[in-house]
Amino acid sequence: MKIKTSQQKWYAFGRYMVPVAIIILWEIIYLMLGEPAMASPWQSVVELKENANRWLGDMGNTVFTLLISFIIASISGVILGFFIGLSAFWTKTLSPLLLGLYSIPKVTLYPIFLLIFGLTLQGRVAFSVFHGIFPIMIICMEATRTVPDIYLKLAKSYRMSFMQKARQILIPAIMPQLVVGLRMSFSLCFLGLILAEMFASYEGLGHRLVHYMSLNQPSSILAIIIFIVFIAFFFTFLFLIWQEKNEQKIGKRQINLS
Amino acid sequence: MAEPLMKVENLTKVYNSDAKEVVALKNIEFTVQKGEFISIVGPSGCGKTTLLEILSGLRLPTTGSVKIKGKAVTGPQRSIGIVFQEESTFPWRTVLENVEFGLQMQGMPKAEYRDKAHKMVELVGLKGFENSYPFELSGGMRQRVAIARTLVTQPEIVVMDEPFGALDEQTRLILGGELLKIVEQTKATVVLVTHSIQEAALLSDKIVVLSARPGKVKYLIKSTLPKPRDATALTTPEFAEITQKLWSSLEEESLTKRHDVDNDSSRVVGQ
Amino acid sequence: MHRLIQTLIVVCLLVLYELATRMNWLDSFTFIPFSTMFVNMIENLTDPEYVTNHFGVTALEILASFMGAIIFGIIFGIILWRSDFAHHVLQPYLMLFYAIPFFALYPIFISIFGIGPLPVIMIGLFFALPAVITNTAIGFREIRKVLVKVGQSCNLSFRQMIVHIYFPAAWPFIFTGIKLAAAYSIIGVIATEFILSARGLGYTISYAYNNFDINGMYGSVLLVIMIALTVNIVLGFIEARAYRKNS
Repeated sequence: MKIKTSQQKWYAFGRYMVPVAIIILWEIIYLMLGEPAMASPWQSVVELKENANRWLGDMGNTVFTLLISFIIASISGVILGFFIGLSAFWTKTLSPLLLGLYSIPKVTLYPIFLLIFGLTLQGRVAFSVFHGIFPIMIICMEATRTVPDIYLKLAKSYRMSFMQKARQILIPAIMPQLVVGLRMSFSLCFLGLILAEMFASYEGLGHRLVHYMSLNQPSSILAIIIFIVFIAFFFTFLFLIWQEKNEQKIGKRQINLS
Repeated sequence: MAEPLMKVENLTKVYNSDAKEVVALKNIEFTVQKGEFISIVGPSGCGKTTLLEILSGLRLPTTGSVKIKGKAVTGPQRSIGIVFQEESTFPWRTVLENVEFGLQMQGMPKAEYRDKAHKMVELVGLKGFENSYPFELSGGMRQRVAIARTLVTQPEIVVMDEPFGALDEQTRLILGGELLKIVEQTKATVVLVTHSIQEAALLSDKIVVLSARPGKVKYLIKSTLPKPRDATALTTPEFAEITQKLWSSLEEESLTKRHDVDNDSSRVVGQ
Repeated sequence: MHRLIQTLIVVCLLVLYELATRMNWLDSFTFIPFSTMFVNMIENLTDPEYVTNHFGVTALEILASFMGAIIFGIIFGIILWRSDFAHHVLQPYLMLFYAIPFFALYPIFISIFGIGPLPVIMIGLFFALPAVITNTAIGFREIRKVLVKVGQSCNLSFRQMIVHIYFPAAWPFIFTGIKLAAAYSIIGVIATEFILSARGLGYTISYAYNNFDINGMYGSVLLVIMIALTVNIVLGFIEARAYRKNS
């Protein structure tokens, strides 16, 4: 037992050292490339702190848009996936089509969203939803379809109504995979949103990024990236904790998307 | 009596887990003559699988030794072939390629091993399935492939860990009968680990009964069943007598050590 | 049966769309008929300048980042398999990988790798890498113990174990990683070109959009989709065969 805990401490130590290693690597790249092309970690953090006020509007805008998109994507993805997943036939039929859609570079379709919605918040939300909905839908679908048969027989033997079955059996059974899907969808919604903002927008962090790229201000670019990565990591982390809790409760089943 | 092919001497295996010593096997002794078919039976958790892994060189004993022709076994070697309990055919190889595996790895020329593998596939009754992949076969057929893969390298001794454990009782006895025929034709020496009394009684010349943990040799029963045998021997009075003996010896064990049916059994159930 | 309905769905949607655009149910400044898109795509492809400067560049960039992702991904995957320390330390970070908008690093990549295709390739590579790493590590780590024992019982050397046991056993998983890497490197390369680069298929789309050339835009969009789908279908087909054998 003693050996085990010391090993776990060693792993935990290693985990904390990864960010340190990245910062050191960053510093080395900075030293190699020099001032105009690159900024040091420290300069970027200072930049972030000094500009936080000025960027607050864009940060808020992006996070707000992201949350709206994610909520729409996850709710509609879960509902669609769940109901398709109830039928093995439709799951098998639709799943290759959806996987095909998932694999195309959706960013190239953003101009079409722009043509429909113009440079509006709705356009960015719609694109972000479109960019992020597939993982959760596919995973939810597959998870529902592969709920062990024995559970369904059990539900039948108790003469459960559909609502009871959904609430007491199906949803708890697919929960662990659902969280994985939500995590992936969140990442993709975020990525889609940033891409949309970078391509054409008057506001948001993506817009800021492109702005500073054209001014060639690496410290500002990196400062914004720090913030974006922070947001992404923060939410991903919440999902991972949720996932771990679920796995502790009912064990691991995997559907391979990433 | 001639010099035994395999000699197990004073074998003990102790595991250290959580700073607690668990004696899995204690003072095991028996011998295997050339051409003999020996079964090892015992209650769940008696360390059958551990014993088998030691016999085949996958594990080392704490004290004592396993000797083949007087030479101690210190690791896996060509003279020992193993058939595992779990599904162990390579899914990416056809039946023929699976059977060829051992010979190919030994560096035998292709024409030669191909020929030998063909004969072995025929011997185990899988002619016509040479180019099938394991997923196309039934569990029993796959286990025949695994047996063929081991026998084709002509090891001095073949160690089998419940080779038909995952199959139903009828299939396993029928396959057991077939196994006997194959073993007779290839003149292989076999050590079989099993928990099926019927299987042990039907197949063996000698049966080693292990006690519950720590595993010790409790009885050595010699079979009086006439040879050659097949599944029809199941109805003879000799068979009934041997199974009776085995039953009573194992029953004592389970009654005295009932609380000890633990981790080893969970592994078996999981298959 | 599934195939039939799948084809039917796709064909119906395309016909419906074609009708909707032809009958002007949809705004003709936003949507053009599918047949027109297809014609535009072919027209684009007959232009040698388009093929060499855009299509060819993109194809090479995708291929390079895809290959790079496979090679480095398998190497890192093997490290994560052999070293428990690396596995436990890096595993959580791999999940966070997709959350990073690598596109934003493009200007810095330009400073490091110079102007030209290399920064685009690097973004595609980084985007595709985690899928290969994760799947390679899973593939090797989840090999059934008994297959390894068979190898040991045949007294195989380490090299033989790798070639004849570990690699074929892990292959279906590694291939899944490779398939995902193909999709991700296409996405990474096209998206970078689309937003930031001045060359390649992605660029032709944004250029056409910015110059109100709807026809040119749809032609390129369709080409990108066709490339992605073709790669996906071909690899999916190979994967299905690998999996069927190994399950």
